[in-house]
Amino acid sequence: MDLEEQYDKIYRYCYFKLHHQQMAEDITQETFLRFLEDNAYYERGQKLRYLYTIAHNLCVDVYRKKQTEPLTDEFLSEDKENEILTSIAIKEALLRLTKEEQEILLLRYVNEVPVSEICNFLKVSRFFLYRKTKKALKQLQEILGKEEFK
Amino acid sequence: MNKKLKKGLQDAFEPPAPTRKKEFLNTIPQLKIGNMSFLYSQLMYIPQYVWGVFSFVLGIAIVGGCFLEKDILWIVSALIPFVALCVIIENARSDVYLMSELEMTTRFSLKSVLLVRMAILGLSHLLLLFFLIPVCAVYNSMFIFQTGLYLVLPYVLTTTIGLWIVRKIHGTESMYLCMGVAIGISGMNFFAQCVFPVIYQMKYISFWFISLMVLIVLCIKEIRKNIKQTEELAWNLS
Repeated sequence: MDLEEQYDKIYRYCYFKLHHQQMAEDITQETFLRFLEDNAYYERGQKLRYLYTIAHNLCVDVYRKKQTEPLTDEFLSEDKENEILTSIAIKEALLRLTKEEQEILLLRYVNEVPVSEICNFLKVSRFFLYRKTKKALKQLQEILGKEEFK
Repeated sequence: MNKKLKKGLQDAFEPPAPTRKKEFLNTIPQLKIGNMSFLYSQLMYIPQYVWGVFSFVLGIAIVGGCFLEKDILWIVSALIPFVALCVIIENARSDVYLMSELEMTTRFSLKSVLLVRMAILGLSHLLLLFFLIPVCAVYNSMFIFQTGLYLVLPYVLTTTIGLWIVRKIHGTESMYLCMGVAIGISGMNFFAQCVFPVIYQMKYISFWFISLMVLIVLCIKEIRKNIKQTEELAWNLS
Protein backbone atom coordinates (compact mmCIF):
# COMPACT_ATOMS: atom_id res chain seq x y z
CA MET A 1 0.00 0.00 0.00
CA ASP A 2 1.36 3.38 -1.02
CA LEU A 3 1.08 5.46 2.15
CA GLU A 4 1.67 8.75 0.38
CA GLU A 5 -1.14 8.10 -2.08
CA GLN A 6 -3.48 6.91 0.64
CA TYR A 7 -2.61 9.93 2.79
CA ASP A 8 -3.94 12.22 0.06
CA LYS A 9 -7.09 10.14 -0.37
CA ILE A 10 -7.88 9.92 3.33
CA TYR A 11 -7.17 13.62 3.72
CA ARG A 12 -9.57 14.33 0.84
CA TYR A 13 -12.20 12.16 2.51
CA CYS A 14 -11.72 13.87 5.89
CA TYR A 15 -11.89 17.29 4.27
CA PHE A 16 -15.13 16.28 2.57
CA LYS A 17 -16.51 15.32 5.96
CA LEU A 18 -15.19 18.23 8.03
CA HIS A 19 -14.65 21.14 5.59
CA HIS A 20 -11.74 22.24 7.75
CA GLN A 21 -8.18 21.96 6.50
CA GLN A 22 -6.30 21.70 9.80
CA MET A 23 -8.81 19.39 11.37
CA ALA A 24 -8.91 17.19 8.28
CA GLU A 25 -5.15 16.88 8.37
CA ASP A 26 -5.14 16.09 12.09
CA ILE A 27 -7.73 13.38 11.59
CA THR A 28 -5.81 11.97 8.60
CA GLN A 29 -2.65 11.67 10.68
CA GLU A 30 -4.54 10.18 13.61
CA THR A 31 -6.11 7.66 11.21
CA PHE A 32 -2.72 6.51 9.98
CA LEU A 33 -1.27 6.34 13.49
CA ARG A 34 -4.14 4.13 14.64
CA PHE A 35 -3.94 2.01 11.52
CA LEU A 36 -0.22 1.43 11.90
CA GLU A 37 -0.43 0.96 15.66
CA ASP A 38 -2.42 -2.24 15.34
CA ASN A 39 -0.73 -4.88 13.22
CA ALA A 40 -4.01 -6.74 12.99
CA TYR A 41 -5.44 -4.16 10.57
CA TYR A 42 -2.62 -4.78 8.18
CA GLU A 43 -2.65 -8.54 8.61
CA ARG A 44 -6.35 -9.11 8.06
CA GLY A 45 -6.47 -7.60 4.58
CA GLN A 46 -9.11 -5.08 3.46
CA LYS A 47 -6.69 -2.37 4.49
CA LEU A 48 -8.64 0.38 2.71
CA ARG A 49 -11.82 -0.56 4.51
CA TYR A 50 -10.05 -0.24 7.86
CA LEU A 51 -8.48 3.06 6.90
CA TYR A 52 -11.80 4.58 5.83
CA THR A 53 -13.61 3.16 8.84
CA ILE A 54 -11.08 4.70 11.24
CA ALA A 55 -11.22 8.03 9.38
CA HIS A 56 -15.03 7.98 9.38
CA ASN A 57 -15.23 7.19 13.10
CA LEU A 58 -12.76 9.93 13.95
CA CYS A 59 -14.74 12.42 11.86
CA VAL A 60 -17.91 11.40 13.69
CA ASP A 61 -16.12 12.00 17.01
CA VAL A 62 -15.21 15.49 15.83
CA TYR A 63 -18.84 16.18 14.86
CA ARG A 64 -19.97 15.23 18.35
CA LYS A 65 -17.32 17.27 20.15
CA LYS A 66 -17.88 20.37 18.05
CA GLN A 67 -21.61 20.64 18.49
CA THR A 68 -21.36 24.35 19.16
CA GLU A 69 -19.84 24.85 15.74
CA PRO A 70 -22.15 22.91 13.45
CA LEU A 71 -20.75 22.12 10.08
CA THR A 72 -22.26 24.15 7.35
CA ASP A 73 -23.79 22.60 4.29
CA GLU A 74 -21.47 24.60 2.16
CA PHE A 75 -19.39 22.31 0.08
CA LEU A 76 -17.00 24.91 -1.29
CA SER A 77 -13.81 25.76 0.56
CA GLU A 78 -12.69 29.31 1.06
CA ASP A 79 -9.45 28.62 -0.62
CA LYS A 80 -9.49 31.07 -3.51
CA GLU A 81 -6.79 29.28 -5.41
CA ASN A 82 -8.78 26.09 -5.32
CA GLU A 83 -11.92 27.94 -6.32
CA ILE A 84 -10.30 28.91 -9.58
CA LEU A 85 -8.99 25.46 -10.28
CA THR A 86 -12.19 23.57 -9.64
CA SER A 87 -15.29 23.55 -11.67
CA ILE A 88 -17.91 25.72 -9.98
CA ALA A 89 -20.70 24.20 -11.98
CA ILE A 90 -19.94 20.68 -10.77
CA LYS A 91 -19.49 21.87 -7.19
CA GLU A 92 -22.90 23.49 -7.22
CA ALA A 93 -24.45 20.45 -8.82
CA LEU A 94 -22.89 18.24 -6.17
CA LEU A 95 -24.47 20.38 -3.45
CA ARG A 96 -27.87 19.33 -4.72
CA LEU A 97 -27.07 15.67 -4.17
CA THR A 98 -27.43 14.04 -0.76
CA LYS A 99 -24.38 13.65 1.47
CA GLU A 100 -24.53 9.90 0.96
CA GLU A 101 -24.49 10.29 -2.83
CA GLN A 102 -21.60 12.74 -2.63
CA GLU A 103 -19.69 10.30 -0.44
CA ILE A 104 -20.25 7.46 -2.89
CA LEU A 105 -19.06 9.57 -5.83
CA LEU A 106 -16.00 10.68 -3.88
CA LEU A 107 -15.06 7.14 -2.91
CA ARG A 108 -15.84 5.58 -6.29
CA TYR A 109 -14.59 8.14 -8.82
CA VAL A 110 -12.20 10.43 -6.98
CA ASN A 111 -10.48 8.18 -4.46
CA GLU A 112 -10.98 5.17 -6.75
CA VAL A 113 -11.70 2.78 -3.89
CA PRO A 114 -12.60 -0.72 -5.20
CA VAL A 115 -16.34 -1.47 -5.19
CA SER A 116 -15.94 -4.40 -2.77
CA GLU A 117 -14.12 -2.16 -0.26
CA ILE A 118 -16.80 0.55 -0.53
CA CYS A 119 -19.54 -2.04 0.04
CA ASN A 120 -17.77 -3.37 3.13
CA PHE A 121 -17.07 0.11 4.46
CA LEU A 122 -20.60 1.48 3.90
CA LYS A 123 -22.14 -1.90 4.77
CA VAL A 124 -24.27 -1.98 1.63
CA SER A 125 -24.72 -4.54 -1.14
CA ARG A 126 -23.10 -4.27 -4.56
CA PHE A 127 -26.50 -3.86 -6.11
CA PHE A 128 -27.38 -0.98 -3.78
CA LEU A 129 -24.09 0.74 -4.52
CA TYR A 130 -24.52 0.29 -8.26
CA ARG A 131 -28.06 1.68 -8.12
CA LYS A 132 -27.06 4.64 -5.93
CA THR A 133 -24.06 5.49 -8.10
CA LYS A 134 -26.11 5.34 -11.27
CA LYS A 135 -28.82 7.50 -9.75
CA ALA A 136 -26.34 10.08 -8.44
CA LEU A 137 -24.56 10.31 -11.78
CA LYS A 138 -27.82 10.65 -13.68
CA GLN A 139 -28.97 13.37 -11.32
CA LEU A 140 -25.65 15.15 -11.61
CA GLN A 141 -25.80 15.04 -15.39
CA GLU A 142 -29.37 16.33 -15.37
CA ILE A 143 -28.45 19.25 -13.11
CA LEU A 144 -25.47 20.11 -15.24
CA GLY A 145 -27.63 19.72 -18.30
CA LYS A 146 -24.73 19.89 -20.69
CA GLU A 147 -24.18 17.39 -23.47
CA GLU A 148 -20.45 17.33 -22.83
CA PHE A 149 -20.99 15.70 -19.42
CA LYS A 150 -23.18 12.91 -20.78
CA MET B 1 -17.84 7.45 -17.11
CA ASN B 2 -17.48 10.70 -19.04
CA LYS B 3 -13.85 11.83 -18.70
CA LYS B 4 -14.77 15.49 -18.36
CA LEU B 5 -17.26 14.74 -15.61
CA LYS B 6 -14.72 12.59 -13.78
CA LYS B 7 -12.12 15.34 -13.98
CA GLY B 8 -14.71 17.85 -12.80
CA LEU B 9 -15.59 15.63 -9.84
CA GLN B 10 -11.93 15.25 -8.93
CA ASP B 11 -11.49 19.02 -9.01
CA ALA B 12 -14.67 19.60 -7.02
CA PHE B 13 -13.56 17.30 -4.23
CA GLU B 14 -9.98 18.56 -4.21
CA PRO B 15 -9.11 19.88 -0.75
CA PRO B 16 -6.46 22.54 -0.04
CA ALA B 17 -2.97 21.06 -0.18
CA PRO B 18 -1.96 19.39 3.10
CA THR B 19 0.70 21.32 4.97
CA ARG B 20 2.26 18.67 7.21
CA LYS B 21 2.20 15.61 4.97
CA LYS B 22 5.92 15.13 4.34
CA GLU B 23 6.89 15.68 7.97
CA PHE B 24 4.30 13.16 9.07
CA LEU B 25 5.21 10.50 6.52
CA ASN B 26 8.88 10.85 7.47
CA THR B 27 8.13 10.19 11.11
CA ILE B 28 5.93 7.13 10.81
CA PRO B 29 7.65 3.75 11.04
CA GLN B 30 7.77 1.19 8.24
CA LEU B 31 4.68 -0.97 8.04
CA LYS B 32 5.15 -4.08 10.11
CA ILE B 33 4.47 -7.47 8.64
CA GLY B 34 3.74 -10.64 10.57
CA ASN B 35 5.76 -13.84 10.22
CA MET B 36 2.94 -15.72 8.53
CA SER B 37 2.30 -12.92 6.03
CA PHE B 38 5.99 -12.77 5.23
CA LEU B 39 6.10 -16.54 4.79
CA TYR B 40 3.05 -16.44 2.54
CA SER B 41 4.42 -13.55 0.47
CA GLN B 42 7.67 -15.46 -0.11
CA LEU B 43 5.82 -18.64 -1.00
CA MET B 44 4.34 -16.77 -3.95
CA TYR B 45 7.82 -15.87 -5.23
CA ILE B 46 9.02 -19.47 -5.46
CA PRO B 47 9.00 -20.25 -9.20
CA GLN B 48 6.59 -22.76 -10.68
CA TYR B 49 9.32 -25.09 -11.95
CA VAL B 50 10.33 -25.87 -8.34
CA TRP B 51 6.87 -27.26 -7.67
CA GLY B 52 6.96 -28.89 -11.10
CA VAL B 53 10.11 -30.87 -10.20
CA PHE B 54 8.58 -31.70 -6.82
CA SER B 55 5.41 -33.05 -8.45
CA PHE B 56 7.35 -34.88 -11.15
CA VAL B 57 9.45 -36.85 -8.64
CA LEU B 58 6.37 -37.55 -6.55
CA GLY B 59 4.48 -38.71 -9.64
CA ILE B 60 7.35 -40.94 -10.77
CA ALA B 61 7.44 -42.55 -7.31
CA ILE B 62 3.71 -43.22 -7.31
CA VAL B 63 3.33 -44.37 -10.93
CA GLY B 64 6.79 -46.01 -11.17
CA GLY B 65 6.20 -47.91 -7.93
CA CYS B 66 3.29 -49.76 -9.52
CA PHE B 67 5.16 -50.81 -12.69
CA LEU B 68 8.88 -50.88 -11.91
CA GLU B 69 8.78 -52.05 -8.31
CA LYS B 70 12.44 -52.83 -7.38
CA ASP B 71 13.98 -50.34 -9.81
CA ILE B 72 12.02 -47.43 -8.40
CA LEU B 73 14.57 -46.80 -5.62
CA TRP B 74 17.37 -46.23 -8.12
CA ILE B 75 15.23 -44.06 -10.35
CA VAL B 76 14.07 -41.89 -7.45
CA SER B 77 17.60 -41.84 -6.06
CA ALA B 78 18.84 -40.60 -9.46
CA LEU B 79 16.16 -37.90 -9.53
CA ILE B 80 16.80 -36.63 -6.00
CA PRO B 81 19.85 -34.51 -7.01
CA PHE B 82 17.52 -32.48 -9.26
CA VAL B 83 15.22 -31.79 -6.32
CA ALA B 84 18.27 -30.52 -4.42
CA LEU B 85 19.29 -28.50 -7.48
CA CYS B 86 16.04 -26.51 -7.17
CA VAL B 87 17.07 -25.40 -3.68
CA ILE B 88 20.52 -24.35 -4.85
CA ILE B 89 19.25 -22.40 -7.86
CA GLU B 90 16.62 -20.68 -5.73
CA ASN B 91 19.28 -19.87 -3.15
CA ALA B 92 21.52 -18.34 -5.80
CA ARG B 93 18.80 -16.61 -7.87
CA SER B 94 19.64 -13.08 -6.71
CA ASP B 95 23.29 -13.71 -7.36
CA VAL B 96 22.67 -15.21 -10.80
CA TYR B 97 20.79 -12.07 -11.85
CA LEU B 98 23.41 -9.86 -10.14
CA MET B 99 20.81 -8.39 -7.80
CA SER B 100 22.14 -9.66 -4.47
CA GLU B 101 23.98 -6.46 -3.52
CA LEU B 102 20.84 -4.41 -4.06
CA GLU B 103 18.61 -6.90 -2.24
CA MET B 104 20.88 -6.83 0.81
CA THR B 105 19.78 -3.26 1.47
CA THR B 106 16.08 -3.56 0.77
CA ARG B 107 13.26 -3.48 3.33
CA PHE B 108 13.28 -7.26 3.64
CA SER B 109 16.93 -8.11 3.44
CA LEU B 110 18.19 -10.86 1.17
CA LYS B 111 19.15 -12.82 4.26
CA SER B 112 15.62 -12.97 5.68
CA VAL B 113 14.07 -13.60 2.26
CA LEU B 114 16.45 -16.48 1.55
CA LEU B 115 16.01 -18.00 5.00
CA VAL B 116 12.24 -18.02 4.59
CA ARG B 117 12.36 -19.44 1.07
CA MET B 118 14.85 -22.11 2.09
CA ALA B 119 12.66 -23.00 5.05
CA ILE B 120 9.66 -23.43 2.74
CA LEU B 121 11.61 -25.54 0.24
CA GLY B 122 13.38 -27.52 2.97
CA LEU B 123 10.09 -28.36 4.62
CA SER B 124 8.43 -29.36 1.36
CA HIS B 125 11.42 -31.56 0.42
CA LEU B 126 11.35 -33.14 3.85
CA LEU B 127 7.72 -34.05 3.29
CA LEU B 128 8.63 -35.41 -0.13
CA LEU B 129 11.35 -37.61 1.38
CA PHE B 130 8.99 -38.77 4.13
CA PHE B 131 6.73 -40.02 1.37
CA LEU B 132 9.41 -41.40 -0.98
CA ILE B 133 11.40 -43.35 1.60
CA PRO B 134 8.57 -45.68 2.73
CA VAL B 135 7.34 -46.09 -0.88
CA CYS B 136 10.80 -47.13 -2.10
CA ALA B 137 11.39 -49.28 0.99
CA VAL B 138 8.18 -51.23 0.38
CA TYR B 139 8.94 -51.98 -3.27
CA ASN B 140 12.62 -52.84 -2.64
CA SER B 141 12.08 -54.95 0.48
CA MET B 142 14.70 -52.88 2.30
CA PHE B 143 14.77 -51.30 5.71
CA ILE B 144 13.43 -47.80 5.89
CA PHE B 145 16.74 -46.63 7.37
CA GLN B 146 18.73 -48.15 4.49
CA THR B 147 16.41 -46.67 1.85
CA GLY B 148 16.55 -43.33 3.62
CA LEU B 149 20.35 -43.34 3.40
CA TYR B 150 20.29 -44.07 -0.35
CA LEU B 151 17.88 -41.22 -0.98
CA VAL B 152 19.08 -38.59 1.48
CA LEU B 153 22.79 -38.95 0.69
CA PRO B 154 22.59 -37.78 -2.96
CA TYR B 155 20.33 -34.93 -1.83
CA VAL B 156 22.74 -33.72 0.84
CA LEU B 157 25.75 -34.26 -1.45
CA THR B 158 24.20 -32.14 -4.23
CA THR B 159 23.18 -29.46 -1.75
CA THR B 160 26.61 -29.27 -0.13
CA ILE B 161 28.56 -29.06 -3.39
CA GLY B 162 25.98 -26.67 -4.85
CA LEU B 163 26.17 -24.34 -1.86
CA TRP B 164 29.94 -24.36 -2.06
CA ILE B 165 29.79 -23.49 -5.77
CA VAL B 166 27.33 -20.60 -5.37
CA ARG B 167 29.42 -19.21 -2.52
CA LYS B 168 32.64 -19.29 -4.53
CA ILE B 169 31.42 -18.53 -8.05
CA HIS B 170 29.04 -15.68 -8.90
CA GLY B 171 26.72 -15.10 -11.81
CA THR B 172 25.19 -17.50 -14.30
CA GLU B 173 28.25 -19.80 -14.32
CA SER B 174 27.42 -21.01 -10.83
CA MET B 175 23.97 -22.13 -12.01
CA TYR B 176 25.42 -24.16 -14.91
CA LEU B 177 28.02 -25.71 -12.63
CA CYS B 178 25.33 -26.73 -10.14
CA MET B 179 23.33 -28.30 -12.96
CA GLY B 180 26.46 -30.20 -13.98
CA VAL B 181 26.95 -31.40 -10.41
CA ALA B 182 23.33 -32.56 -10.15
CA ILE B 183 23.58 -34.43 -13.45
CA GLY B 184 26.93 -35.92 -12.38
CA ILE B 185 25.61 -37.17 -9.03
CA SER B 186 22.48 -38.51 -10.65
CA GLY B 187 24.53 -40.36 -13.29
CA MET B 188 27.02 -41.59 -10.70
CA ASN B 189 24.15 -42.98 -8.66
CA PHE B 190 22.80 -44.88 -11.61
CA PHE B 191 26.26 -46.00 -12.70
CA ALA B 192 27.13 -47.29 -9.22
CA GLN B 193 23.89 -49.25 -9.08
CA CYS B 194 24.60 -50.90 -12.44
CA VAL B 195 28.38 -51.49 -12.15
CA PHE B 196 29.03 -51.76 -8.39
CA PRO B 197 25.76 -52.98 -6.88
CA VAL B 198 27.88 -54.45 -4.12
CA ILE B 199 28.15 -51.04 -2.38
CA TYR B 200 24.42 -51.16 -1.71
CA GLN B 201 24.76 -54.32 0.37
CA MET B 202 23.95 -54.26 4.06
CA LYS B 203 27.61 -54.69 5.11
CA TYR B 204 28.46 -51.26 3.70
CA ILE B 205 25.65 -49.50 5.53
CA SER B 206 28.06 -48.05 8.13
CA PHE B 207 30.09 -46.48 5.30
CA TRP B 208 26.92 -44.84 3.93
CA PHE B 209 25.91 -43.66 7.37
CA ILE B 210 29.31 -42.11 8.17
CA SER B 211 29.39 -40.45 4.74
CA LEU B 212 25.94 -38.97 5.34
CA MET B 213 26.93 -37.64 8.77
CA VAL B 214 30.09 -36.03 7.34
CA LEU B 215 28.06 -34.50 4.51
CA ILE B 216 25.42 -33.15 6.91
CA VAL B 217 28.15 -31.43 8.96
CA LEU B 218 29.69 -29.98 5.78
CA CYS B 219 26.25 -28.90 4.55
CA ILE B 220 25.49 -27.08 7.82
CA LYS B 221 28.87 -25.34 7.59
CA GLU B 222 28.13 -24.29 4.00
CA ILE B 223 24.66 -23.02 4.97
CA ARG B 224 26.21 -20.90 7.75
CA LYS B 225 28.84 -19.50 5.39
CA ASN B 226 26.16 -18.73 2.79
CA ILE B 227 24.01 -16.93 5.36
CA LYS B 228 27.03 -14.92 6.48
CA GLN B 229 27.64 -13.90 2.88
CA THR B 230 24.14 -12.46 2.63
CA GLU B 231 24.35 -10.31 5.79
CA GLU B 232 22.72 -6.93 5.43
CA LEU B 233 24.81 -4.19 3.94
CA ALA B 234 24.97 -0.95 5.86
CA TRP B 235 25.24 2.20 3.76
CA ASN B 236 28.23 4.30 4.55
CA LEU B 237 26.79 7.80 4.42
CA SER B 238 29.73 9.59 5.99
